[in-house]
Amino acid sequence: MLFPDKKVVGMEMEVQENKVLSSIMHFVIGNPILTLIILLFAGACLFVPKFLTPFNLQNFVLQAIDIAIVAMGVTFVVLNGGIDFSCTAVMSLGSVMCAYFMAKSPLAGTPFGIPAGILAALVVGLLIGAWNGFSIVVLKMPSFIATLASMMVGIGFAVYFVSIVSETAAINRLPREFFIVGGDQGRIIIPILITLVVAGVTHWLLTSTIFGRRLYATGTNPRTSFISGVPVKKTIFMIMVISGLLAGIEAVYATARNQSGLPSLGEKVFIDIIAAIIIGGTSIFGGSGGIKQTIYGVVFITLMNNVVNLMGVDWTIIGLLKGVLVLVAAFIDVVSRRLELMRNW
Amino acid sequence: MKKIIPIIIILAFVLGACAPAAKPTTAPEPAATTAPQATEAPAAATEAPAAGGAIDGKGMLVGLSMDSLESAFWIANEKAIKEQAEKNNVKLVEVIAEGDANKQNQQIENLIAQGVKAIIIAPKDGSAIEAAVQKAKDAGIPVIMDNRPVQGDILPDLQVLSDNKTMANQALQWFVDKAKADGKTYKALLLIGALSDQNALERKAGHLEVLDANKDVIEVVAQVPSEWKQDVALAGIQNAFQANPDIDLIITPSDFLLPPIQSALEQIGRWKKIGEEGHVALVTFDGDENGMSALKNGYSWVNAAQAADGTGYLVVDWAVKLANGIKPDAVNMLDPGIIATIDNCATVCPTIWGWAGAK
Repeated sequence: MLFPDKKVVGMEMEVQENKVLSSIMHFVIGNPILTLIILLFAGACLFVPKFLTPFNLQNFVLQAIDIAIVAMGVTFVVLNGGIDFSCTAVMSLGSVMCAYFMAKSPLAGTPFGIPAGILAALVVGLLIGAWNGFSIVVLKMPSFIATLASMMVGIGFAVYFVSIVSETAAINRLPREFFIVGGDQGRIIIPILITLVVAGVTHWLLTSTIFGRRLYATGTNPRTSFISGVPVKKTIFMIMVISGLLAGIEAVYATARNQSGLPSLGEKVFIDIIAAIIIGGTSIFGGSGGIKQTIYGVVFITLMNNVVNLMGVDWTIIGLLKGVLVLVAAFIDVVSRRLELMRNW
Repeated sequence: MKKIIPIIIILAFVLGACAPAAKPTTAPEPAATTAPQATEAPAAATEAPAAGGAIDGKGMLVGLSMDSLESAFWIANEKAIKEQAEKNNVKLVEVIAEGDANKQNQQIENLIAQGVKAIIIAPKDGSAIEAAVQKAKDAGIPVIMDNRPVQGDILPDLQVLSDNKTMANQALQWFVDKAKADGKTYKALLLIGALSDQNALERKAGHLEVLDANKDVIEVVAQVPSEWKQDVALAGIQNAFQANPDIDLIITPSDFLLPPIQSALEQIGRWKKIGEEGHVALVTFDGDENGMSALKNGYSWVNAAQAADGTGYLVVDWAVKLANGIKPDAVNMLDPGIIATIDNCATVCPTIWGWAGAK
């Protein structure tokens, strides 16, 4: 047939259109948060003046990193069906210790000041993480109680420590060279690289190692995992240490960003961390989710904060929006879990 | 049980996120206009403020970054800023950090990205704000600090401040002189604000200076840090009275802390007027409606009043001036404050911003 029948061509086009529509629907249903990010980003590009300026895009990236690293750490705990409130204390105490070694200790002003400060923040994270792990595994405390106690002790000690070593409530006058860790003077590539490395390693840990498989198994059903020979206690201990360590890395970054050691650093950030994890799609019941989902959540929360700020939306609406989104995400999680259970039953 | 805990936690955080910042029970209705004035203090600007006037901003965009709106002072200050912005034809973009220094820095970055012509900042933390001030300066945007100074090396273009130390000093010195004249001695509870707030530190220093010099008149038996939180102050006051029931003087760095003071004293039957048995004398600071009520009704002896409204008018005026390239003579512009006492209240109190709301 030299000339194709018009009717046949029309039907083929209709089939093609249906295929496109169905693949879009499939993508939207399969990736609701990614769809929201794309829509919000497109909307911001079109309707929010100054959104696409280099300065704002740089802001956006740095503000995302403000919670990204610590959120990746807490994701490990949430995947296990637990919670880690103490990440905020690690950020506060880590920031204070980091600044202390750089500005107030005998090492201040020497070439060892900056490495000592960074190391101090990481050690704070490791120690608090290990203590949480010990409390949960050995003392049999629920993660929510163990980490709540660590949070109160950590933040309290951070405030007390600053009151001893500084006349003001924060430690400033840190070495300027350290600020590049926070992307100072437009050198945002350094925090971006740190975040990418952390994301890569944590994603690899969860998806390509025995530890990762054990973590998902423990999060889904700890009793069954234990019977199957999974070292549940060791896995939980490692999870808490990883969460503490990543909060320590975040503390270093945030100290450089704020150019001072802040005992109040972690006080108000927890809601954004947990919101990012839940909105991203990691289940609050444990066992499903991951680093990719948390990154989506972080991008979404940061994008929303940035866009509503640029639009001059009333500040009370921002908190309200976030709260509603967390509620919706948690609701979807509960419903989808129930549906799955019904299907299996 | 394990499954229920995450749901409870999530709900708690949702409720937390949805809850707006606490506001005082009664909104102030300042009638009188008080303004910071030029002083002879070091580095003080010499220009007399034209509070309440209008300078045409020609619709310019000005950023306003507030710490939180938890006290009557900040609510009155914010209201005055908004009023003056409207008068000056200035479009305000307001962000509130809700007591989070890190978040405040992020919000200021967003204001810079919006291309505002000037930024007015009431910082949560005078040290932590330095990085944001530097960023604004790098972007060529003038910065005006509203009532709280930067604690660091990088200074803004202008800081409109209260002369906190002197005002605290003068108010307490007046009380000491009165006590000396009456031949009385006191056992005092000294309340302290948040240590991250330079104003709180200066008020504490002003109070301590007088207390150290007059130990024969006032013995400080308890010091209670409040972190600028009413619940923390209430618990601290209750504990202090438990340990020292003979306290008969409370020195507070802010009228914001008067509700917990009143609550604690009422619980032990000590909320009494001057001259009544069991009266606990109050030396207060701010000049809000609670402070003015306490003075008017005979509970407080003296109040060092700031200019919540005048400061608000002034920062907007200067935002326009700085955006137009006009520089102040000096970085610090100090409000000498008004010392309102039981003796001069009839003439002085009506000029204070919180008087109209006093009951």
